Amino acid sequence: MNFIKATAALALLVASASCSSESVPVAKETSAMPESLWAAAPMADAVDVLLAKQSSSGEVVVVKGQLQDFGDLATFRLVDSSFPPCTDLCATPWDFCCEDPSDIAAATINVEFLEGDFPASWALKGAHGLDHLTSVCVKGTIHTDEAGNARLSATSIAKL
Amino acid sequence: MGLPLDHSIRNLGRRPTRTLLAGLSSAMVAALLVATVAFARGLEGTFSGAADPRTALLLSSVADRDVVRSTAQAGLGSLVQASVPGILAASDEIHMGTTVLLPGDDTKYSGFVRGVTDEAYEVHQALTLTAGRLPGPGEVMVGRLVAGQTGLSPDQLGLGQAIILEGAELTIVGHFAAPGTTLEAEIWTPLEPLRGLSQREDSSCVFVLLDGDRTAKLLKLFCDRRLDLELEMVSSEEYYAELADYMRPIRSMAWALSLLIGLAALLGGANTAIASVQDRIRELAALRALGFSSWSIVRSLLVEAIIIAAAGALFGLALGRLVLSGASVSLAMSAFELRADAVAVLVAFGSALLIALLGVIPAALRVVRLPIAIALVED
Repeated sequence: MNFIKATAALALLVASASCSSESVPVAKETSAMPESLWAAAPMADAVDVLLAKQSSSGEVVVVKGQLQDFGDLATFRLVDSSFPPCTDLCATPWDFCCEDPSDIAAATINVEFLEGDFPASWALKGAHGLDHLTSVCVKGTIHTDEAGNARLSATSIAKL
Repeated sequence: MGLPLDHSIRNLGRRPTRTLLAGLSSAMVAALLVATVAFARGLEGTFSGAADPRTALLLSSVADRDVVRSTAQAGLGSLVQASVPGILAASDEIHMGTTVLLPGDDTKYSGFVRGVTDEAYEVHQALTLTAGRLPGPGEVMVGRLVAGQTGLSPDQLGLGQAIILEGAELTIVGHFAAPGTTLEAEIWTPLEPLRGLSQREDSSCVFVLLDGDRTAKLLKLFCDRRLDLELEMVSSEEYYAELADYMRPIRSMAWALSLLIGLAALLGGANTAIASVQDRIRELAALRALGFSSWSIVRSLLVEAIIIAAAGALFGLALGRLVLSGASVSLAMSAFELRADAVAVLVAFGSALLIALLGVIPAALRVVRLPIAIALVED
């Protein structure tokens, strides 16, 4: 009988421990994207990604394109609008799997909303309906490295 | 009125051949079950043990998450360490399937080789050197399961022995273990000499040890920014979970096989029990006529079945242990050890007992339901 009581007590202890661990509130790592970054209307003079990548490093540009994929921080990849998503063959059409990967890389720019030296930690996906293949225009400063990779330190964004 | 326990035990000796055959049947069931459970658990454990929440892989984004097909720029590990804060170690590696030869022997063995730098020993913390030392140029160290994977004998892979990889004779200077990982089926050798031997300028991938979640996000940012490198970052947990998923059909088949073995044994056992009871139907009816309750007779039959099953299962488990000890299974370019652990033993032993108990039920029902008067004249 003592064994049964001890087993029951142990089971209760385990159950309560597991319940309490589940009920511990988990701190949210990310907050919402600041509304101030959203432009009321698409910015004028937006150019496609391929053209924007020809700009000098440090230049302020407005880039338009289709949103490819989101980073783990407040970043996303923007692909030139001239590439059609491969909806028939890809499970994830935003991978543009029908195209040559190096062509896609050449027509892609990484858009980043910075807080200090690094991108902010809030989530972009879902904000104002942002999703894969959403057409957007973004204003920011372009930075290009020696290998030809371009990133845009964004200051505002609008859906097209 | 109940039947004494020694009545059941004495009964076993009255039909020694039938008792022996029933016991051997239980032994075979237990041995087969422990082997199939050990196989399924060995396969499960191989990939779960390799996953480390602090480790990520950098692979070519066009390699479909296949380390052998992946190519990464040589020196990528150093570049990543210099570019991303919070990287504790970054190990450039070449992963390749190759032919292993022995000096003076034309027989070809298939092996899996990993070219590593010193950083690898920081990243792959499951690895333990069990004998000898780490390899330098012209040397290799071999994992615990390489013999099983390649088909070479343990003696041929002893310290000081030579093997030929990519045309070069290399000396075995170390043995390592990494329980529950695929590393154990690999041959490790320094990266740069292997790069020369295999005539490739790139690496396959980079394993990165991270100091936290923030570093993982910054590493992903690095991959997103460096489009020219065509990299994909995958956490090692995700990578090995995908490999485990790939093996799921084989694992499911092993469990299904266990179930079928159990079912076949159950039906065979039930048939034997019915035949055994039929032979003793008048004797059992006489016991009931003498005043022993139906339940006491059923209990006596159950005790007989359990004694035979337990003895047989213990023998089968001992046999399984003997055969499975240190056994490994070669699977594609990897290998895993059969895990005849406590779970496998409990499943096999418990199943053998359960099968014996369930198998006796139809026979017991017949004894209980048959009227005594009819049973006493039954042929």
